Amino acid sequence: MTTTMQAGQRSGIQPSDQGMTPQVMLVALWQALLGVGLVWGAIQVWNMPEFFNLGDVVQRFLAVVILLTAIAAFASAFMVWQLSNNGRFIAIIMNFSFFALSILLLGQVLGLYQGLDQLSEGLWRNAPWLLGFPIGYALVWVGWRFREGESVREWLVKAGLGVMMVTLVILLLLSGLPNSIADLFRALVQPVPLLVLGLLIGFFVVGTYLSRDGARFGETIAQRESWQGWLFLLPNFVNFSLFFAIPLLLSLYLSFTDYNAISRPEWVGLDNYIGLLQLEFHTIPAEQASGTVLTQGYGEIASIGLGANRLVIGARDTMFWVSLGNTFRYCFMLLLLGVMPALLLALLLNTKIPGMKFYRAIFFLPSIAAVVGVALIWQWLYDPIIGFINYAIRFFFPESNINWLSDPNVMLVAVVIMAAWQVVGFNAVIFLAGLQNIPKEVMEASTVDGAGPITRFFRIMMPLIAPTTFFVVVTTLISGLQAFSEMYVLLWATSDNARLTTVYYLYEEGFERFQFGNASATAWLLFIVIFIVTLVQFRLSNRSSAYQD
Amino acid sequence: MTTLAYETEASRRALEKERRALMTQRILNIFVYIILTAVAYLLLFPFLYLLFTSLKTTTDVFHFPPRLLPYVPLTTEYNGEQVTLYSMEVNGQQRNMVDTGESVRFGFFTTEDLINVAEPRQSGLITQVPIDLATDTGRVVNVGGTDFPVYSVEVNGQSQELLLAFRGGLSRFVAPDDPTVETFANARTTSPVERVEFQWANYQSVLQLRNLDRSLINTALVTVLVTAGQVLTSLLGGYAFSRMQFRGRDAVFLVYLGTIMIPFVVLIIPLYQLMQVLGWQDHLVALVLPWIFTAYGTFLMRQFFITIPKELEEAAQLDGLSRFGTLFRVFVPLSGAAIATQAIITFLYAWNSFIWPLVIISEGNTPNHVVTLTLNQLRNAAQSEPNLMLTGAAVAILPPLILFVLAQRYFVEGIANTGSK
Repeated sequence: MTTTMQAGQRSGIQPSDQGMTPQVMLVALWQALLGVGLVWGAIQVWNMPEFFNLGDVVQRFLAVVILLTAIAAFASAFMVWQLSNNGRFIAIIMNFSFFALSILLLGQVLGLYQGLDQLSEGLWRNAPWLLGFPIGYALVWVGWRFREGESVREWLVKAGLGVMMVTLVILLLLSGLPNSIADLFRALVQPVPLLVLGLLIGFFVVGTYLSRDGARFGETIAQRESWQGWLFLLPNFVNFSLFFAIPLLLSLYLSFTDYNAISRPEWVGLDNYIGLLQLEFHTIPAEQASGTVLTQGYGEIASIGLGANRLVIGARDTMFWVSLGNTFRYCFMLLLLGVMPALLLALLLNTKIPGMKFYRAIFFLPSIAAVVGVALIWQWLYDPIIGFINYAIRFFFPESNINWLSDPNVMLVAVVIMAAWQVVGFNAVIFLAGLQNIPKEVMEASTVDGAGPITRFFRIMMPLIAPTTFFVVVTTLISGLQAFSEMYVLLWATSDNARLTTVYYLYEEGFERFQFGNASATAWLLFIVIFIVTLVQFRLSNRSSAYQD
Repeated sequence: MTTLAYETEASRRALEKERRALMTQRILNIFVYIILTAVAYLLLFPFLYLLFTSLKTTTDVFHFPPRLLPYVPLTTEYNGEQVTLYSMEVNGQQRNMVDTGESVRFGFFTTEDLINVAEPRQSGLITQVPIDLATDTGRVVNVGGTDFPVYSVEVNGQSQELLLAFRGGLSRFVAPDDPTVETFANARTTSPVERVEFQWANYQSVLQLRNLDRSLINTALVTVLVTAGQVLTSLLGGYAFSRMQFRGRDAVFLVYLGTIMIPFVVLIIPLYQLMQVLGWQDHLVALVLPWIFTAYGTFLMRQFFITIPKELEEAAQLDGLSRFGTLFRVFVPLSGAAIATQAIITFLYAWNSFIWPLVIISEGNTPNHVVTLTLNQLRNAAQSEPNLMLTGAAVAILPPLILFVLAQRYFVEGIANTGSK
């Protein structure tokens, strides 16, 4: 009774807003029922005989999470009963989250998502109608050109939008939407979809009711903003949880297991990581064969001459180390060819000449094309006989004949050249933006002070664009560390280890040899490398930004 | 008076100096233009190669030495058949000839000094005549251990005795309009008359090849849905992060920021598992729904919304607009450039994505392929037809290119700005 009084005093607007009502009781009951349902769900998950082959750990973890949600539901039921605004907050968030999840679930139980394939097929069958979209867009575009004639402009925009709308309706009708809707209704009249639909409506009604009845719970403006903020974030957060956070945790777990997609994952601790990273070092006389000293199962990855002796480095997973070495080599070359020329291009573009924007657009062009398509072009440019690259080289070295895509010594270089071609214009545009951000006065002052162009470049420009440089280096490096498609498409004809990058190794390990545990561990090692690179960049750029003050 | 003269002298000198500076600037600019144009040509060359090769015939692609423009051999009607025209010199004139298909035995004659004993076919020749028109003298000359028969041959109207280096067949070519004009040549070394012709039909045939038309529609649908979804969730999330106070906001934001660093390959195996559990494997939905969330896009949108003055929002709320109304009536119209930038980045990412479709859509499931997958298969299947392969590549690259031309401003400037922030 006292809580009721307090709530009444706090809001104190209308007598009808105060005190317990049947609605509030119903909500509390709903929350309690929800808790019971969740407990039941947790038990079901815990007892499932075969949990999608994902293993006990995942199963138990999920059950505990559901149980925790159930506890939250019970708590909110109790607190709503007490007319506490915190309880209401939990209940609102919970109902709307479950509402969003129910929508997703309803789509799933109705088979709506697989229907996307049929929609695409329908569009394909009626492809000529797709022309309606560009026509409509063209009308809108022309409409926007009319600055003065308001009526003409409005009319054209409306016509354009109308054309697009009509096109959409026609396309949907032709793609068999009426049939799909009929199928949908038929699918809906089954126990499970109906249950989901009922829950969905329930969550929505309870959530909406609670969100409107703030006064009864003595809600302040800040409290109101709190749940509204969460509701805005909800679509984002649900997707983040389902398709990012959960897979991320699962990936971490799998990296500690032995798991080959058919068997259940078995906990092996750090074995995957150790297997990937384990090295051994032997010093042997230079003439001795290294095979004699390496432990069974180890392969040589490097051998360094030390006078009369040599140091042999063996690894348990030679392929991993080879791929790591290739990745670093690739990144190094990509930085050389993709960043430094970009800076030079940006300096050229920064001369304030007319037509600069035209050149900038052209330089940018390679970066928008798909790697797969680009690799097809370069495959023929690299052809030893009819390719333009060897043709150009033969002008200077008539005897040369480089087998770009099959010689293990140059194939990585071939990929780097292609990748640099794609990235150089992009980087130049970013450098140019950095250069244009340098205040004019600084450059003028330095010229007055008698600094030559070279001094100006190294002493003034470089420090001032240091943050941009770091950004370019790190983005190039991170994309280089994840290189896969370039090699996969360009070096398809070879099976030489020179084509392996870390992600390529991961791909083969995961989707050709189905060693999911080991592949996950590889992914996390790659993440650690990227993390270190980013951290170093962050430190360096923090230090360098001192110049900016 | 003297001061005035001094001033004019000074101003004249200043003017002169300025003009000279302008001149230097102009020369420098020309220099810069030349370099920029050269670099632009170099960077565009693969695209030019793509465009022109996609319009070639298959035989033309394998022409050596390589050339950019697509050529087809010129043909004419001869004896009721379409035959190729060859360009060759006849009686000191360049003429277009056709191959009659007749072969005539020729003798290739030379002197003792010019003969190449090891490789008689490499010898320097004096003349070549049909072997029937030369008369064998019956004598032989021994050069370096090999006997060469001596023939009496007519050269420039005079009879001459020469050694027969070797014999060989030459094809008879005649002028199609005047069959009396004839010449003999080795059919393999003659160059056909060619003209530039674009094989636009390549584009038609490639669409049917390997389901490329279907995968284009799939890709377009997937890309539109992903782009719309990402922009929508980023708008809502960015607004919440920038303009609303709620419990746990900063913690969630920090987590989001942290995820930007995580490479996609970390998620690839569990996501694959998740798709299997949900039954989405091999379906287009696997390319759409997991991609609606973007930490990076949410972050970009938040950064942009922070710059919008608070007064605008307060005014809108005083006018009775809800939070939702404020976002879509006030913030969205102000953020055209930011939304365009994000939409473009997403569009490119979705259109060009390869590793995830490669993993999740199986090779045999061609109806659900996206363009990158189709190109990957085309690469294997059309190795003997590079022109069609590159036509396919051109078709796949074209839509982002069109978007680039339409929205160039947002592309370049938007992306430049994300870099400098």
